[in-house]
Amino acid sequence: MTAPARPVECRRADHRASRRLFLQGAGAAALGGFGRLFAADNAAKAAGQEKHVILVFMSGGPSQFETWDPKTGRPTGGPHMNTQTTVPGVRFDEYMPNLARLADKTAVIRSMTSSLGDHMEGHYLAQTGHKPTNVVATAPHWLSVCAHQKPAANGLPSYVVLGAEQGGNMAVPGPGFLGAGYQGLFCPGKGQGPEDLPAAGAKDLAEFQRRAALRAKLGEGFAAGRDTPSAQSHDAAFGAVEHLLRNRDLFDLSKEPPKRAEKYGPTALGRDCLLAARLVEKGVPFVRVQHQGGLAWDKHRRAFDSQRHLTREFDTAVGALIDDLRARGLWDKTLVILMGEFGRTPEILGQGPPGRNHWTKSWSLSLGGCGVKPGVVVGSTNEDGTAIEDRPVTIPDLFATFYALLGIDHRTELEFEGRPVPLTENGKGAPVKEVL
Amino acid sequence: MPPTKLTKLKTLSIDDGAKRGPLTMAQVRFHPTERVLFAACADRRVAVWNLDAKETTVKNLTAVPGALACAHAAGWVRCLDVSPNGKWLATGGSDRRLKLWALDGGKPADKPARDIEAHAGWVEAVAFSPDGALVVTGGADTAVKVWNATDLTLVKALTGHTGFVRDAVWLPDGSAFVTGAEDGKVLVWNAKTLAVARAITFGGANEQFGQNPALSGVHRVHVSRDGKLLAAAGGKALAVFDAATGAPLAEDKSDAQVCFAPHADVLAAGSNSVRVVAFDAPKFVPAKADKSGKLGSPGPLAGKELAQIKLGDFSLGMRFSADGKLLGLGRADGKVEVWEVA
Repeated sequence: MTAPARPVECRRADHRASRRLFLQGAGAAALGGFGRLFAADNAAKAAGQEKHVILVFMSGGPSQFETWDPKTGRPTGGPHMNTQTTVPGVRFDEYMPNLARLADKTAVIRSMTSSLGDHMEGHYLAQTGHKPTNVVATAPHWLSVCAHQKPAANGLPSYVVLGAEQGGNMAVPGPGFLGAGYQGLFCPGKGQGPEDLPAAGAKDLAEFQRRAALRAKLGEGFAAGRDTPSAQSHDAAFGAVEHLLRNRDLFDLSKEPPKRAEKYGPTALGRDCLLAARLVEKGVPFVRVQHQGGLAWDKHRRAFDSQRHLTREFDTAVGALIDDLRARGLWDKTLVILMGEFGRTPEILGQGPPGRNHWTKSWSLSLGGCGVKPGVVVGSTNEDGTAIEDRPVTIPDLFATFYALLGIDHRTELEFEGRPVPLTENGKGAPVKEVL
Repeated sequence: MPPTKLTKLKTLSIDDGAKRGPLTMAQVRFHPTERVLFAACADRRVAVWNLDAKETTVKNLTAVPGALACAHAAGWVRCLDVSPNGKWLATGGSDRRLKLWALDGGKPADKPARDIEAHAGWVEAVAFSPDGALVVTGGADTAVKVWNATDLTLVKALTGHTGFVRDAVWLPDGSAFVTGAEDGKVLVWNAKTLAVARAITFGGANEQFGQNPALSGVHRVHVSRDGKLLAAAGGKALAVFDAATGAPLAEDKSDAQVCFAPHADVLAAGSNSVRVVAFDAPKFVPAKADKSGKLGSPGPLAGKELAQIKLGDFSLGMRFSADGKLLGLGRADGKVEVWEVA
């Protein structure tokens, strides 16, 4: 006598997976738009998807003085020395030897200027292109926009988020009005893949599929006449889980040769940069990497001592990332962006061991790959770094540049409840031609 | 007679008018014979004060104004020390250079007598030997180096630390010197063999994670007047060890800064609130091992607290004068408080 078929039932892990992976919530997990992927329009977009982005976010506001725009020897210069890069006349912080070596492969903007000096507002602005109050609905992270405009092919996640930052959806904005289908697939950092997936193995996959089939059948009736984004997101969530169950090794760094991993350094950022490279190599288009949680670059106090550690691990990891992308032929189609939400004051403060406060007036970032003109330095600041001397670049300009590099017209308008929402703030901005 | 009280004597200030924030202090040193105090601060120059100069009042601040001297080309002076005979000032900078300045009545010469690239990284620590013949330096390259004090020729480069070396000090009899580093280690070096005589684990090394990480490992080390006690201060704690054995004898929550008085069993420690304690070494309760051999914590810093000085700001650099009658406390706001120890 054979045992009766096991009834299809939900287990706690399944609820955990669907809740934590795919439903909304600050810093919670997500999906990459699988449900919509096979719609005709998205399939066409996916077929044309060839470009990638790795955004390494330096939360807290990295000091331009201790990274890409040193003022060594000036009263505002601080104790850090600088080093000659491979671009004649261009010097970086002494703790960035790898980025100095790669300066002729990347571009630097030394004349960023913005207006929001609060961390969370700054995060939001620097990752959505919109001020928190300027859109009628919550703006999507710009990589969610990319996932919407250029979704992944072959059922891969379109957008993956590696590591969290405190502050929830302001620190790492979600998909906003685009809906949960464009939320980055969340991984907790340190090179780990998504959390709370059902157990691995063929048996568990089969069980999941049985439950998914039942859920789909029951859902048909519910969905009839309800073409709502949330219902679509729900469908997409389960599709995403199934795909992840089939492709667990996508996130498995144990598959990487130790020699490759070593070059990234023994840090959480090193592991995440390696995972970002692996994901891009496997076809994931858009990856956001968090460099340490807790606003690590926010150095109001004891900046100059502790930043030696921070900058060194950053330089090691992102230097290896760029080398790796170049060695694997991915550099020309992968846009790597190294930035935070703003810069830091020229004045060195005595609130304790010395540090610098927030500064939006003139700050720096770096980008490279994906057609970025190498060895370019855009703009400059005066000798004490207190003001931009030439070529200010605004946040709308920056996002217009990012989108242009990806072949997306920044004047494109998304739609929210019938209203047009431009990709950049009020449709402003022009690409920085010097880097194109 | 051990001291019984501390009284604030005067405030020293330094400001060259450049718009870049206060010249936060890092280290202070009294001249051994002259009424002069030197400080390494957030500048490429050393702040120098004549302690007998008159206080002036500017913008509601009454203080002795100082001068800036002993310029490095760039970066900040990270460490300094005055030779025991008072004739030389050594400065180490983030520009990797070690400079030797002649002192005349406590006044530094305009140009350095010697100027060398000492380390492949910031020079973080410098200390003259008690006889003035040698200088020990520690750097961000993790190296410890011993130099002839007269011409700054290298005697030997020493390896042993794995993190930035942050401080160095000699035992009073010159038989050994001590270094502390961000790797959480205190190393006691035999001055004759230049080998590590003892390695003491202080701990506290960290990866500087997040917005405001605690100091990694050892920030300051100092040795008691009789050479028997060795104190190390880190991000969150102070530990006192038996200098001969490395055994932990006492601990305290004072962080980051520590120095012993040269004339009495007195210790000052702490970076925000400074404790000055007339310690009672015989009452220290050393750490004991449990049944598994694991060493426990030693007892608190036994003795009488002479003062708890709340600066309202961080104390960054502290040192007693050679006669023990003055205590200099550097502050984050570009000032040094001088306290009379009586």
